[in-house]
Amino acid sequence: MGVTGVVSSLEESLQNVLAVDGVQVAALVDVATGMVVHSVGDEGPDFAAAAASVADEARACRGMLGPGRPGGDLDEISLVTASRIHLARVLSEQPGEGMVLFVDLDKHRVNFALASLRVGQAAPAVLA
Amino acid sequence: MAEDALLAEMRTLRERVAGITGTALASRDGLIVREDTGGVDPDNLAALSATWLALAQRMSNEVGQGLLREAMTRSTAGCVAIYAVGARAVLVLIGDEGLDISSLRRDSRGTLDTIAKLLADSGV
Amino acid sequence: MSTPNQPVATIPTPLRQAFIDCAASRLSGVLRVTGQPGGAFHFSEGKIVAGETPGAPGIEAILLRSKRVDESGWDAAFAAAAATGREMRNELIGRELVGAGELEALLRTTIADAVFAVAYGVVEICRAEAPAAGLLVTLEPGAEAEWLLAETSRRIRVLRSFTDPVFNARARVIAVSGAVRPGLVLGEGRDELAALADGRRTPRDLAFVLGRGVYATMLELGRMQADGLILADSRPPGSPADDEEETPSPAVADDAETPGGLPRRRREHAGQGGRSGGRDLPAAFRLLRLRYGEGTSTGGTG
Repeated sequence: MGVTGVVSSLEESLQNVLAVDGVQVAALVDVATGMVVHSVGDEGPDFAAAAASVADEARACRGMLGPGRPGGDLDEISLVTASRIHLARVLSEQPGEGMVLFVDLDKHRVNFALASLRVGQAAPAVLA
Repeated sequence: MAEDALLAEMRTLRERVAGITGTALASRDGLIVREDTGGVDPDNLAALSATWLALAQRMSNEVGQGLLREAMTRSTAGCVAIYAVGARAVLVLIGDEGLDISSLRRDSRGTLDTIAKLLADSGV
Repeated sequence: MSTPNQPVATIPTPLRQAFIDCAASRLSGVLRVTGQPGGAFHFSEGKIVAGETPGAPGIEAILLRSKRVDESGWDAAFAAAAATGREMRNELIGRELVGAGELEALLRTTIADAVFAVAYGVVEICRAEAPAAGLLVTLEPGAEAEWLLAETSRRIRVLRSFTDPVFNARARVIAVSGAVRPGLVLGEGRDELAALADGRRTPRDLAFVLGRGVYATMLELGRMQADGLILADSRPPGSPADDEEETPSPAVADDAETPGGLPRRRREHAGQGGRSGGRDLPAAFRLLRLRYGEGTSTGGTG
């Protein structure tokens, strides 16, 4: 917290995402640089590398959609393992840039559909 | 050769000062001498710069502020600065928002002196 | 001490130490860094609230060039902040020119970019000074020095891991003519970069023109270089001209002097700057070129 008591807007909105059942980590990742703009939760030691990979995935997926985006812009990328769900929700996009909301969930605590729904509901508030 | 030496000096300044995107040297009567502007119309630039320098010097005289050192416009997407070179020419520097102005003022001095000497040596 | 054309391997020690010291002493003031590009970092109680450097676009350039905020909106916010003493940040958010979260995110990325730009160049002296007056868009709460240093180290490592060792922010880049099939959209901001890489502009210049971060721009250019789409050239300053830029007039005409007697250069290419390959680029690319007309232009009013 700052001296003046100003609360970070990103801290607040990411904490709201973290409050969703099953969420272990919520982070805002800058696609152009792979930088973790802000994160909350239990990140773990390799989080910076994971975030950079998420950024690379977002770039690769956008590329896969092809020019003209006949199906619309990229909304979300998901990666599912035995115990975890990783969601990367696109919050903003401009040529060569963008921000994604990255969420790491415990698969035993929440099912995929519900997680995607809840994260999708909380996402618009992050950059607002 | 004087032509290449002038451009080389202008180019050196552009390399040395971050944010200079183009340079031009014009005669006081509004004609382009050398340009390295990357696409700005040099004839318009030369005419405007000569006029502007004359006005700026008159303004400086009007308010009794002595010798004009620099005239500069600052806009949303960058700035333009002009400097008198001797009595016969004007140097125009175009910069983006990140122009390092203190570096510019420090490093343009040498460039102005060198260009003045080059012009003088070629009989101007 | 590295020269301007040798990229650094790590954050220069004086800069790292200065950040650590300013954080530890909870400085409220300005850390001024002389060097190339050098810069200034504004601290509030030991945290970084703003950064300025000629080496990277600041928040104003980013917001305006990317068209997130229009000029009149910015001016109104600036005027109101100057008149009332309110923070620029609050004026921008209050006028709904940008969201609070987005502005905070952009401030964090632009401050990180400024630290990177300063660290990746030449650092001479770091000195703490009293707070500077002036209207800045400040990050609240400020960024932790440790976080900025870690992020900067990460960026330097990434760049060194795959780009040409001489690639740096002041190297001039040029699009490889014929490398892109006409009509092909590259995506990921590459089209704009390819269109603007004319052999004059450096990655830093491109970042300013496009309103993107300089690290992000260098990263993408590094990838494009690896893909054979652009070439980087980092000759030392003041090197003799090569045929990529203005060529000496093949024949100096008789009216080679202005009426005032100055040696006059005939306008050959209207400062096109690019190689002939530039004209092979598809129409879409040419539209992206920031030119005032080609060939016999009547020119804009500048």
